[in-house]
Amino acid sequence: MKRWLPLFMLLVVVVSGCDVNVPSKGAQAGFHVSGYAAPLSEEEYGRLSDEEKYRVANKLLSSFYRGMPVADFFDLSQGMEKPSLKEGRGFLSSIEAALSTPLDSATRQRYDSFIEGDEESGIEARFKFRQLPKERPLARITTYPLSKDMFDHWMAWHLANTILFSPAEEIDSANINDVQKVYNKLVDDLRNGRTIRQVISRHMRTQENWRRFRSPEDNTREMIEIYLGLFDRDEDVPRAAIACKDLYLSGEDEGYELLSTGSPNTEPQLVLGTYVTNCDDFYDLIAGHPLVIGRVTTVLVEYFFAGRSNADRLRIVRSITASNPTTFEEIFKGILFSREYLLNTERPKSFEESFFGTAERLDWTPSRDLFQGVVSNRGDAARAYMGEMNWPTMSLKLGRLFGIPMDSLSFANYHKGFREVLLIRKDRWRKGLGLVSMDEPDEDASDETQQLYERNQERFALVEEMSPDEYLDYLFLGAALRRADAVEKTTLINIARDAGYVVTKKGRRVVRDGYHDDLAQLVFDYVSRLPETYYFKAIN
Amino acid sequence: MKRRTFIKTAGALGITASMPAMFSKESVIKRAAAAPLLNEVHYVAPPVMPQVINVFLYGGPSELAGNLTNIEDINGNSQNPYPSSLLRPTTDNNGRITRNGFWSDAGGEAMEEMLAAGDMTIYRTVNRRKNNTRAHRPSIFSCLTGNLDIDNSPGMGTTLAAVLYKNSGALSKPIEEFVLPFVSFEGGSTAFISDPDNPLPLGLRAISLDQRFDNPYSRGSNQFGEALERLVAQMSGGADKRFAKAYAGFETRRKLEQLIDGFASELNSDTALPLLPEGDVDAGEDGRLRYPNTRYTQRIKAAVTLAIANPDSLFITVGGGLGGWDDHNSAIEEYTDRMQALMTTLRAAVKHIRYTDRPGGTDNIIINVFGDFGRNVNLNNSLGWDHGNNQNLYTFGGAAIRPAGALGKVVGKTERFGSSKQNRQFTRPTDDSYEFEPTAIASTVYSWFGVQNPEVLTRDAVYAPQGEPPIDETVAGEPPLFG
Repeated sequence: MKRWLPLFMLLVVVVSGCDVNVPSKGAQAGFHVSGYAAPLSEEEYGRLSDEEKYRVANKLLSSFYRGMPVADFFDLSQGMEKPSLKEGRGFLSSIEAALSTPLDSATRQRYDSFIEGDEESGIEARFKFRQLPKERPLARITTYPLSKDMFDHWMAWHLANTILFSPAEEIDSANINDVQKVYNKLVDDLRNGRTIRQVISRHMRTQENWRRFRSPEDNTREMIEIYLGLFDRDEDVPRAAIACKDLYLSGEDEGYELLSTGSPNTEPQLVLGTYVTNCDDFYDLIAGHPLVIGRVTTVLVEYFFAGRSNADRLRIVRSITASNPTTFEEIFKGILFSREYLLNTERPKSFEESFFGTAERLDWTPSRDLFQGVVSNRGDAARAYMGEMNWPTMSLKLGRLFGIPMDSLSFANYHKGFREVLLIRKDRWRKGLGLVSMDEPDEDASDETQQLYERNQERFALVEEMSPDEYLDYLFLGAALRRADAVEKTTLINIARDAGYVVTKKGRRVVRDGYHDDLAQLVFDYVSRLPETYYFKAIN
Repeated sequence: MKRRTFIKTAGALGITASMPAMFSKESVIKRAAAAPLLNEVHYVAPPVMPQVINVFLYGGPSELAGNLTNIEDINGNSQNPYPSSLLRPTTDNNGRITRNGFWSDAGGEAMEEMLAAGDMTIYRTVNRRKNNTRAHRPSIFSCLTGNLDIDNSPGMGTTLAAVLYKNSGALSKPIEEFVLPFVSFEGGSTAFISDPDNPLPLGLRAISLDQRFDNPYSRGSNQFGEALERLVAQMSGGADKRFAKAYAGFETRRKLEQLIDGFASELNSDTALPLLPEGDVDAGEDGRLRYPNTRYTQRIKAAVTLAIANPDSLFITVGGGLGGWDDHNSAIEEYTDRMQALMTTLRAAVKHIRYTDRPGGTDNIIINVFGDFGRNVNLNNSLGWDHGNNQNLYTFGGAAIRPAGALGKVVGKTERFGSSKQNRQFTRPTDDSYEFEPTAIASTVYSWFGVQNPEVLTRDAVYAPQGEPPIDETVAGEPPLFG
């Protein structure tokens, strides 16, 4: 009984305050995890080497599909040898603060217009969508500035892909509209600071939930399993089903509507030690149950700490639940900012974590049909379709697995998508990284183009001055979050020399003018082949 | 491509030759670390090595397609009525009950044909009495690990690999030299959950393949590819431990990059399918087998193609996208169509196996079909069936592996129980019926591969301390329901 006992089976957590209607604490004022899952302090972060800081910063940012370019984190004006930090003390706090700060409505509207276009304002859509409810969330997560709005979308995305709230689009009775409803309601819950119990209580009663779990017995069994982690309650299920016996899902021809017979149960049923009479009672029982917070925390910890032992994960869950979280935001932040996560956890990254984290570090320019490809297997980026990686979007009845699928086929598709849609597409990142000099944009160019131009010029000036060794370090830090090893430098420069990318000028070896992007493509191709690239590394 | 050509090609590409080298990288694997249970296995290599295709119907399929013997009683007590045609034999005014009690348009006619041809046996009483749960997770895990200690048991494919690895010397060739012995057509599968205390060499771990044998393993031509790969190899010291999954993925990729195209050719070759007897319902205009166009065809055809083309593929899992059998609502229509599609596809698969001319024959290939659990038999108010227990095992082919008389019969008798007009109504074995636990299926697979005492692999400390014996395949079948 030692190896793989899941956490939810081990966990016995008693949490006080089980009233579903207790109002939210709002923006987590005063919430603080202590003990084993305590946050990484600024002092400890400050004691890390600069490159470790960069790795930790990007582990945090990549976890919510964002990244920070090398040239934004470091001051490279003195070269790559010993760059100083731009982002120094207070970095973690600044990220946490950003994630707690909502965008004003005008700003949010501006970004939405940017993403989807706005005919009235003459703004061209940045992206094309095929299945908007599944694709737009990723566009927002990766396009909004770091903010509470961005974080709300990321949390909703994560939750709607877990067993907790998957819309289960794969099953016959659910469809893309259910995806939209589940997701948008979650965003609304998170935006308004609703508690975990309030969110679960609301969600259980929805038609979307009934389209996933479609009969009183199915629905009640799954609520007990999913939100309480109790898998051995066959005695309770039939009684809970009686409490919900008036509810049913109509057939396909009637549109899979959640309907009631109008004859609710009137005889109290003993379920999980409590008498319930109707489905409202049952849902209140579940949402208010002492096991809910521990179970929800466990589901999230199982994912983020997948590389850790059962015992470690149990300690983390206990530590977080002991702090009495009431909102998903508190649990997510408790996890992401914890010392254990940032310094001591090593696990495979999801495709979103790898792809979008790296993409932003490389300051890439996504294609218009990117999200169609990643989510819906359409267009030029379809090679990065996550369904082929066994990592489909809001589709699986029981949500995505706890661990990233790393079987041979899933991983082959993961690698191929990451490599071919991002890492060897030099046209997507050479401007952002400053590897080529952009032409000055027209006066009527968009702000985005203008900003890209300014970054490009600044970085191009730096890159031009780099020796091949420095240049490799610049590329490696961006793509692999470490400098190149001496063997790697020697070998890659030799390959580049043979290809004519590196030449000798006045006795000095230099990257040939106009070939920085070719050399970068070679380096990134190499990085894509390294097993380490697909993992969040531990620092300690 | 003929099978011999395919294997030859694989060899020429250096696949077979490269296998020992691949294993040598795994020399760190400690055979001595084998789990204690493996030491208790009494192993005798079978004269013919089986190849098992395990088709798992996730969600838990109803048993009714293969068992309408209680339908009148079921209908009389159900909260909602069944179609009246389901209460009549096929000989009576377009009824649906076949001679052996199958549901005619839910695959029943196909089942009758396979039964008559001696290609199928159906066991109607796979009945969970130990740790009787109706939850998906423990049911799936116990079925696919073959053990009720679900959180501490590797998948049945992993256990089988460990047994063969430990007893490699008893096989006709070392198991390390088998090409793709363990394959999943469902991505990561519970049947291949690994055993962290007893890691297998890379070549014995499951490899997942695409049902179209699409090849995501190739990178296309790249002038720097070889040089980069050499550098990666040089720089990957320790990666097999620290980044084990990605490392294994890349190692597998290198092997499959060349191999996979051979399978794709085999799958897509019009002449690879066998000629059928004249007038066979599954024959195309050219007289060759034609698979029906169903949602199951690609995966099952791919699995059978692989098994036939590559006798080294010993245990193949098929599942995942098999449609979801969790029929809580609108069950009758959807289940009927799904079961019809499944069984007509299996009928083609069985003919694919039976009529393919392979040196040494193909009667070592077995297909097993089962799911999490059976369903209850009351039609609930969403016109579906909720989770149940008793289910069917449909098992096909493998005459060279099984005892005489194992095929072509219907085994097990059932009765309805539960309160009338209440949801919780199920079938169960009658007192005089043969029955077995779901974990006996894993036990049977182990026994086919030569494990003489598979009980040691299916036992646990709490629920089944004696383990499960394999299915008794010599049990007599039931007489037909109708003359």
